[in-house]
Amino acid sequence: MAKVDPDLREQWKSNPRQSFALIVRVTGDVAERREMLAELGCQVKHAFRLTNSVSVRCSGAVALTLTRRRWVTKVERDSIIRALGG
Amino acid sequence: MGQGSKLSNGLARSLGQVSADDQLPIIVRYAPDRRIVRHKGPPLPGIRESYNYRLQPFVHMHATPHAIETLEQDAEIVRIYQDLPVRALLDSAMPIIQMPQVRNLGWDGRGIRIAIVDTGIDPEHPDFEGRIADMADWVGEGVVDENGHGTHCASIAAGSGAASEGRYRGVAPAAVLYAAKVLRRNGQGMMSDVMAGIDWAVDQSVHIISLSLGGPGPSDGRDALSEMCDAAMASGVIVCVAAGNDGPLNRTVGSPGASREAITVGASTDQDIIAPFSSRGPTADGRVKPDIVLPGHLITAARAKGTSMGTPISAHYSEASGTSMATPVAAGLCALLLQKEPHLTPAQVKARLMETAIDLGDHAHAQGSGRADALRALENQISPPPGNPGAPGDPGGPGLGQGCLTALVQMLLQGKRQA
Repeated sequence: MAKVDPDLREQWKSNPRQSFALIVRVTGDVAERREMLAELGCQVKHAFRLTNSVSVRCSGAVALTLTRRRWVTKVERDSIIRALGG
Repeated sequence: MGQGSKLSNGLARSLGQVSADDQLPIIVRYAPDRRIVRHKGPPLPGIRESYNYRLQPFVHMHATPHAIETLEQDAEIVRIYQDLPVRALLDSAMPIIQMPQVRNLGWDGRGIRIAIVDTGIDPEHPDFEGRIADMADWVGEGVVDENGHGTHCASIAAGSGAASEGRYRGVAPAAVLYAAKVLRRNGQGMMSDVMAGIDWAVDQSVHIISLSLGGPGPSDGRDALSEMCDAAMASGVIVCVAAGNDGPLNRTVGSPGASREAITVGASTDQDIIAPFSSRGPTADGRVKPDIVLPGHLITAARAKGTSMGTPISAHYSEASGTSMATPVAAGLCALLLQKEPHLTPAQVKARLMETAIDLGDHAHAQGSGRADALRALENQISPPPGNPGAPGDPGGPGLGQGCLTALVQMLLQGKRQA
């Protein structure tokens, strides 16, 4: 399975300086990976122990580098969620 | 209104507030010996008949004030009522799923912890007094609900009904509540904040998480939020998620409704049919969702102070619709099940709700296993497979959901559509 949706990857390539809100799934200790993501230029938001993932904000250029890390298994968009009643 | 008037009090008041040309919707009751009622003679001016009820001697019509006065003179007319809008209330949705019988058995969710991951909660609402264990804010707006959605959902799951003398009591009125604010006052948030709320709830050792939120479909359930729900279930926490409100189109279940392990809840109405807005499956990878349906149409529950979500009906209560409303009903049912059978795993609770659900006769992509039922779930009354009504007296239940009350309502509705 691809680490990132091809359309999202294209958006990173086309907009290397644009900021993207992403959820990064990692292997290994999530606290350590959180630090590593910060060192790579990501603004870290949350680390999720249940799914070993980290929510970040980073540029398209940085996002492209993330996918080359072996400890990164998947990168997806942090999307908008809405209440379902009213 | 004079002595011996045939007009209801409400109709009498309304007549004083309308013009001579206004046609009021009224229901005319004829003498008991009248079965099929038709007006005799030429049509009365100012009257438009719309429906004759077959089971009772009533006629629905629209009439001007003068025409109503003329009807009053008809010796065969016993009473004239104003036709008023009705709304399904929490107190009427609960009987559909046999909650009164469950309450009589004493089950109230005591000792069970439910997390509402939503827009927050109104901690001052009387219906939650003494039972909010903790609150957390993940959106930077403070823990108090400034939208109303989270409070409404919390009330459905576990409101005491204190502000309504018990009328709008939730499914598990003695459960303990945790509230994670992951949606802003505009009702929107980020997937990552919802995931943080789930993480927090699991860390609080809650038994159940209720998620009345989602993104557009279709989803294959492999997104981060859906898989977070799967992980929470695997960790021992029951997760109830809303199917979505993009029905009746197929393939409209998004994230986290498409979660493989969570209990995905669609919405039914008080006529025990699938609500038109309830999202349908299959998921993007072809799985059946929702898993069950529960009442979610025009539900009255707690109103957060200062909010106007849905339709406020009083200072303390509002009416709202959505799979959002059905989902905390499921969460409350899970609480009752855990109270009775604390050894059940999340997967077993899910299976119980599905195996004891009542087949509403709709496609699996609309209803899943059917409309869940509180009493049947608690008593483990397994339903026959869909399409198999079973024999009379079969402990599997009615099978096709065609009890006599449902049939009567459907008959009345069928007649009204043909008018």
